[in-house]
Amino acid sequence: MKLERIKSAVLFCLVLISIVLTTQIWLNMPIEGIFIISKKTEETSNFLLTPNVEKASFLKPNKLIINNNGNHTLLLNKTEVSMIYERILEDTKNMLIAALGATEGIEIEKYECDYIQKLRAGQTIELQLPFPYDYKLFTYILGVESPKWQGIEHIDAVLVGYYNNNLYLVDKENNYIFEFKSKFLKSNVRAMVDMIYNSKPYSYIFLSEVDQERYSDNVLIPVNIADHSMWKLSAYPESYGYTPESIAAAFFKDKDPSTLRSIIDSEGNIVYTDGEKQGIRISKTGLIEYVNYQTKLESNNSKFTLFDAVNIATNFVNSNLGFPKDSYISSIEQETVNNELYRCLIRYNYRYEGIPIINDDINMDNPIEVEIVNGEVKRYRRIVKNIRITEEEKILKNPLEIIDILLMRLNHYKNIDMKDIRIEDMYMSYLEYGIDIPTSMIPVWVVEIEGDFKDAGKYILNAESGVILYEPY
Amino acid sequence: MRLHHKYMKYLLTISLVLVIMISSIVNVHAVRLENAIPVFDFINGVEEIDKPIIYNNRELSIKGKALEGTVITITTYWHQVDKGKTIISKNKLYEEDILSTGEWILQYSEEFQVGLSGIFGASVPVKPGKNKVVIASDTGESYEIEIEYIDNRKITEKIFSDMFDKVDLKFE
Repeated sequence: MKLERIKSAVLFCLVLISIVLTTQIWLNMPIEGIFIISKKTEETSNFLLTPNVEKASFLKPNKLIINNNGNHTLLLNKTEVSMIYERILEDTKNMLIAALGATEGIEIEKYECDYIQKLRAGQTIELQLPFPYDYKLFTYILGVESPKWQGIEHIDAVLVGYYNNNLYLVDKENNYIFEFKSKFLKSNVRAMVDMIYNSKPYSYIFLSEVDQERYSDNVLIPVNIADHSMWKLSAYPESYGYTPESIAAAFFKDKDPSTLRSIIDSEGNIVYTDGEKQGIRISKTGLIEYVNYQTKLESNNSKFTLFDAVNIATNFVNSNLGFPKDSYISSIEQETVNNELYRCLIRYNYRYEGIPIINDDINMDNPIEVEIVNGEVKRYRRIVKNIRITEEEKILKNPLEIIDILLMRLNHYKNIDMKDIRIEDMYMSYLEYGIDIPTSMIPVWVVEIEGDFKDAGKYILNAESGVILYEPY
Repeated sequence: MRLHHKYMKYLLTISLVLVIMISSIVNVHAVRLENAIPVFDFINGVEEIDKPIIYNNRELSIKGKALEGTVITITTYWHQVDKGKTIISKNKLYEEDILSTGEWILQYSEEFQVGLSGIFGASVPVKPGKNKVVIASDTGESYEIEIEYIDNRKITEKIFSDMFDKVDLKFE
């Protein structure tokens, strides 16, 4: 009788185990601790290239989109989902490292870029990168020493099929999508996506699915956001609360502060110089500029690569005030002389709760810039803000109404033919305004208009009222 | 009900096999996408879709194109099915069910005026089972699609609850 009871208990346990595992395997309901190893979130703010943080941490997408049978969701790196967001990025990076570094066991197929429509109609996550990454730089940042696949030139986006674990690299310039298939490619992305869908995220639509002529395939807008609101923010310059001397000391670490020369210019900016080779200027608005006077702008045939430039720039920022949270490389400009790199401008951006920040100085919408000339830092500019939430809510206008307002401006007031107007991109941002500290930051829509007319460029519209706050002139 | 241990063993063994089999079938069926949701184009037309679209998302994105000024009405209906017809559609899943059967129940209706963008879009909720979406313009044209939403999680929850709810798992 006792043996029978033990048998029954064992059988009951087996049933319970089958329920748990069936739930996990078939229904994607992850339970931390079983297959999904719980992971402590690492504090990655302020430093990107510290020994504890891998280089790939500043390889971040502009947009992270979840495609699910024709439904789309833009996943923002908000505090409540940051663990899932980071996990998706990490899994994707691991898949990229496995696929690009593998010497065997990978099948690769090539499609034309139109294939992305099919991928979006399926079950994929899509990481749109801020700019087309040079393939070699991309693999270098990922730490893939000798990438096997040499036919790829640029990477504009990365997609992962979260049911089949296939990996896709999009090269728009050459009109290719590369598909990587292997039984070795594995990820937990499907479980992460399931968690996101449990939280009932907003639905988005790609406008190119409706009208390819007028909207590029980057334009993704939320629908049914009539009841959605965002907080107004307030911002303080990062230098607020610090004396100019202490900021200068951070730059001139090897100098005695008493030996530095300082002047105040006509606009009230404070300039410090060591009298030999370098100087910094601290403005009232929070702009901090560093210049190395000795580095000449002409090419001196010093050999340095794009990888060196990224390393030099990132290490320089790390040692001089560091990176704000959720920073990433937003663009890279290169100049060559006789096919040799001699100048490189690397820009970094950061986001607040997944939303990019546009500073009061519109021309410096990438808040951190480092210019490398002949392998040395020539110039470094940054205007970083410490952001706080206010109690004021802003109700957002339907983005289709925002587009209507802009098209009316272009068509009715500027007499531009509707057929000539093409919307290249559209995304939410926070725009800073105001003179007094703290300044305010309000939610805005940024719309990038493409076309062969002088009014093409970036427009900024108040997300609450639809008023055009900035337009090209 | 109080189970005798020899019957309990049979019950548990059968449930073990059933859980694995049913949830596999449900999941494979639900993951498959038969047709993409079309773009409702009131300018160039839409190819007709004559069979229900198998769908596994509780939100459905409706998008389309029309001339500026057109008023578009999006209406959705859910098909209320007979009690106890199948294990999937059995009415305990749907709290607001009443006794009537085979009826289309209005779920959502909203009007949109198309602006200069020439685009309209909405996200509408769908319920497990058959759903009908009607997109009509004030010019008299309309499109209709049928969607069969299979919520694999609800189905499995239902299977589990039906199996174990009334079972007193006390050993004798």
